[in-house]
Amino acid sequence: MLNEKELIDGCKKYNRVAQKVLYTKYSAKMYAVCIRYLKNKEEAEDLLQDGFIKVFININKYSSTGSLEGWIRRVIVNVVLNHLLKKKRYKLESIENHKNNYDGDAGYSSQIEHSYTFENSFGVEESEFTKPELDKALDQVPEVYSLVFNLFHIDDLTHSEIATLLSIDEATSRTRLFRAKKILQQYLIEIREKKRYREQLS
Amino acid sequence: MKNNKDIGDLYKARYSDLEIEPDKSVWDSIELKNEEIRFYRFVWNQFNIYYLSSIIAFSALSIFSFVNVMTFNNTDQAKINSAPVLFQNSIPQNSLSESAEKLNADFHKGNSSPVINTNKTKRKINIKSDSLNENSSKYLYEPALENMEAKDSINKLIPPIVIKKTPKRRVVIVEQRDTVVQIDTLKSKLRRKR
Repeated sequence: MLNEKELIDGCKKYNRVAQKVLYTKYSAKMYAVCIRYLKNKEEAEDLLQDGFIKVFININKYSSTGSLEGWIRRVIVNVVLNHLLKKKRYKLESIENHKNNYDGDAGYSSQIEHSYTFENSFGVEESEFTKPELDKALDQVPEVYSLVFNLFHIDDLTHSEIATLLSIDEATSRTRLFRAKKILQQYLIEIREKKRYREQLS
Repeated sequence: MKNNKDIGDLYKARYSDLEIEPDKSVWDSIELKNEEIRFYRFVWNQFNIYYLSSIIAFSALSIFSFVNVMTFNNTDQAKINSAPVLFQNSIPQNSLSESAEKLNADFHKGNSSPVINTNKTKRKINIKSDSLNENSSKYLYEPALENMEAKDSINKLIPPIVIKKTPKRRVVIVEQRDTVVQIDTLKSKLRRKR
């Protein structure tokens, strides 16, 4: 069994076995990343393929300071984002269409302030929601917001990184994150209320 | 024990370690693409060995051919300049000997007489042996006369071939009902056969 250093060295030499081992080790996790952003199996598979090819080509640029998984994840995320930007899918969905879902644009500073109080006040219990319920709630969030939510909370990117990747301001990134959380909160509360109602009935 | 969490943390816990096995065809297509990349990568890595050697070989070849052409032209010219030209009549034919003498006289007045070997050559003639010789499996060739002096008689070298001449005759047969008309156009004779 190859250790990580041997694996990287092998991939740098374009060794077929090392590449196969690397793919087998990380493909499932990276496919989940692709699915999370695209929600389309075929498209996700295509981008997984493109992402791994990019990983194999650019593995010489990998410096061993960070984790290999993190680096691969970043490459895959970049590929996915480039694809989305090319399609401009996230731009097609106008932000204006979702104005009714929140209090409206009351000003950036007040929103941020509100978002912090919201984050602190809305505590959810770990075992309260099932995985399909969480998925369903995230599916309800418009892609422009879920994209920033995914990048910030799941892929651990900072607002400046997100702003660079999506060619937006940091402030816009913060606003989109806040809106994503607000929409999620609404759906999750709804689900919780329904559950409680059912429990009372039973 | 219940643990209160932020929505972000909740989703991070849900998705960070999520694994979905992709279709096997993905690796096949990656491998296919990798073959192409590997090929071009190999070509680039081996640039110094293959490309440079081929460039050197090509340039060496072109220099060699250039030098060769230059030397060939020089030697040719030198030969023409230095070669002693001598018209020598070795053919026992009056016309040839006269022309050789005339050439000598014209081109080299008073100098040492130039010599030109006038060798008579004759074209090869293929004759089927069937009609000529007992040895029927071979073709007969006249012996090559290159580098043989013309003073030797051609009859001495090759025995004359006698080919029997068949009488020329052209017959046209015209069939007309039950009558066969045979016309010999050469002899202009009309015969009728019943």
